[in-house]
Amino acid sequence: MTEPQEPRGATPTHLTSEELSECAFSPETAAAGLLEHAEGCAQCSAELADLRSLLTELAALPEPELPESVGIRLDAAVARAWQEFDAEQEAAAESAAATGARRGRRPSWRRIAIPLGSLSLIALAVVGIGALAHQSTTSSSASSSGVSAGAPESYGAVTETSIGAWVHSLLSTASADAATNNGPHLAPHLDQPKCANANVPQRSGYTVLTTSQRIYQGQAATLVVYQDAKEPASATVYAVVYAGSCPNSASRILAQGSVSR
Amino acid sequence: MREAARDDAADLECLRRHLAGDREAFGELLARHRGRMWAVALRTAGNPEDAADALQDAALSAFKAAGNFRQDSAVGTWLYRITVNACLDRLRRQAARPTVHYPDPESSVWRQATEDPTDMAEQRELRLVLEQALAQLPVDQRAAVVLVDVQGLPVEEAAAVLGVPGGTVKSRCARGRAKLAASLRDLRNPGTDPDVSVQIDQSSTPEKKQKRGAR
Repeated sequence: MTEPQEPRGATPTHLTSEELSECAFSPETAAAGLLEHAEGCAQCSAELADLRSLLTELAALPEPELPESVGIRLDAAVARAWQEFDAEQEAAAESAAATGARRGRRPSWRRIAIPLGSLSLIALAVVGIGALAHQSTTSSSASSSGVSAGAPESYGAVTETSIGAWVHSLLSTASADAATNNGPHLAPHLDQPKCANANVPQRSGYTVLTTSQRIYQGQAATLVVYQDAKEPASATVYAVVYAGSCPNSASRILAQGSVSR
Repeated sequence: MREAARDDAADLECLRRHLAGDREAFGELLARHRGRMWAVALRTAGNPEDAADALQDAALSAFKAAGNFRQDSAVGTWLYRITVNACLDRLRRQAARPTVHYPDPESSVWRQATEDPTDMAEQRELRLVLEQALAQLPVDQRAAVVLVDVQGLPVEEAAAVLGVPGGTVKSRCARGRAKLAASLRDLRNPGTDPDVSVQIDQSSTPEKKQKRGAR
């Protein structure tokens, strides 16, 4: 045990660990007299030297590489979170639809345009965030009552967030791509090569606007956005979600509906 | 600084798209930050298994809490905060159980996690010693040292991450550094064995261990 030597500087005792840290880490803000003491005191200057080299070593520790298995877990966790989100939306939409059936039609139904006579025989979920937002500030519960209660079970309920948002993000990405030649500077992360549009199921009276692949309701699925062949500028497009990442005319339809762009 | 602002604008755009229902946006945000989140999680948790669990917790918390993000900090700071909190939650839950494990420098997973192929052998040894000493710090001090001294965050940003005043961060760092420096001294001077391959400005006197605090 060494007794503290009487230092030559103004500070009568050795520096505390906090003062030493301050001298090593940010000497420019260290209180007056501390550095002077440290320079004149063998013990403090030795500790200061140790601290400085420690800081150098800590800053030089290499950034560990994210193990591949951890990256895969993260991607899977995010995909699962979206599935849970979809399931919640679906449950909310179903209960809203049930409420709507008891009360009869809500006025907001009439605001949703379905200019798709040839396709309307298929029971479909109508998605109309854009139209609703455009015409009035209808509450989200009102718009989710737009899910068709009579849809065949195999189609599943479509909510405006699950398919509408997909269509909107797809269309906005496509227009951003067209606007700037470079495209968005963040490359889509889980993008898969798009199928040739020629293989995509065709619909009479419509042309394929764009396609996109992702996990939908726990399986690989492809969204195909059709636009009216005669009125390509129409504000309403028709969206179909097919099972599989490369659908053909035999592919099962998971969901479909018209969407206001 | 300007680059940081641009990165933050891109991060905000990812969050906005995520909240609008864009399925790719959160993955993009995560891809931009998960390397740093992993570095913080690995060193704060102290072992790769807990770090992986904590990182997954953090990703899900951020996914769900994105709507609550207020722009009183950068998105990156917010993600650090969620990551550190996920680690601390895991460590607290583990503290209730008796098993505490320190990183085993011989464990292949730790070695793989921290390996730098360009390392010189002696540099590698020093770093393993340092990682091990870091993992044995009390968790509050460890989190502060990891953020400020390893990740290089300004004290004020680390304070925002940890949710404590800047002065608290400084004193936690100071106590942590003092312990790390002592551990390194002990490990470099293991009693009679003079064969210490690491040579860093050694002017200290090995016998002194105590100092008087100035009041």
